[in-house]
Amino acid sequence: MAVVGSLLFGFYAVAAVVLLAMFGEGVLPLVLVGSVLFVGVQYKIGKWAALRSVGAEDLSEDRYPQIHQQVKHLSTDMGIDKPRLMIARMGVPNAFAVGRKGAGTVVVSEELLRLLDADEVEGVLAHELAHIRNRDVVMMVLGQGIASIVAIVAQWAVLLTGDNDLADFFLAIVVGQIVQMIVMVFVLAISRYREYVADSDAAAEVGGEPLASALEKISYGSQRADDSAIDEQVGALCIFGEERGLLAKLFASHPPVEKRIERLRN
Amino acid sequence: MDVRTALAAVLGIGLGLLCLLSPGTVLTVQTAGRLPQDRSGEYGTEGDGSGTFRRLVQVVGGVLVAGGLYFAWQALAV
Repeated sequence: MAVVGSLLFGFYAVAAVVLLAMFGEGVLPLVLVGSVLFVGVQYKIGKWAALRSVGAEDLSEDRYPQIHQQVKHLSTDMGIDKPRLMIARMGVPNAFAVGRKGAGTVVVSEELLRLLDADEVEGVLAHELAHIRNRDVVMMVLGQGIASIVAIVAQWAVLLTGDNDLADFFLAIVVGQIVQMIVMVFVLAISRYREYVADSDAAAEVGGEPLASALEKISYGSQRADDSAIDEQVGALCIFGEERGLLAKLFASHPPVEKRIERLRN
Repeated sequence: MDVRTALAAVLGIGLGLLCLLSPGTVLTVQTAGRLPQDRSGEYGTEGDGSGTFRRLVQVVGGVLVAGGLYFAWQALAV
């Protein structure tokens, strides 16, 4: 992963050098401040949008005291502040973490709490807390930030070296998107690796079996219709048992569930 | 033949086809790091984007293919 991380930094460095070559050395402070601002705004908007998009509400401590207790104990064991806990109706069993160490939020779906038993929920919570402790959300925001900055620089490089005709504008847009995709291949490789690390950290806290069992239960129960608000989006998500093509593997943010279960049990 | 126009044609058609055939890939690239990838979909999987966004990406793909074909015609006509 150090190699992939270095490659990402390399992409950013090349973009910065290209900008310096285009606009002169005086632009360096602007590049650095602009990069930090760009990533910071993406982080803030992303956190707000993620919570808003699922309609997350605070998880009542009166109604779910056990979950609050589990998270409190896990947070203490993992050396982080207890994150804000939220609940949402997502139509499927799910949980995710946003934010960073010290200002994290874990969202669980009502469907997940209905489907899993207490041990399995604890395994899921440990995995999400590991993401917060390991700053995985911040890492992904940084990765996307680098990809976007490199793409913007590529677009400007195309524009400034051409005649500014219609073909140049079209080429700039297309090149920007392609460059972003290439950088994101590396970012998503890191994301898949971080999932394994979070699994391993969760296993170290509560053992591998609860999370493996949760993943297994959700994956094998995925064909069962849920009576809650299942939207179209959900229909496209049944990847279990399907052959994953090279493109899907290359651009997957998560490793295959089967492999995760296998690793957790080994 | 103008190289940049030819490049616009080839890359535009290529990216357009990708958007048309694999909109989920394009959505992942655009949303990863901006939104949690496990926010939609079941636990342990990444979301594949809503049907609306997938169709939007496919519409963009159609526009890119059309643009690519136009520039291919221009490149060959010169």
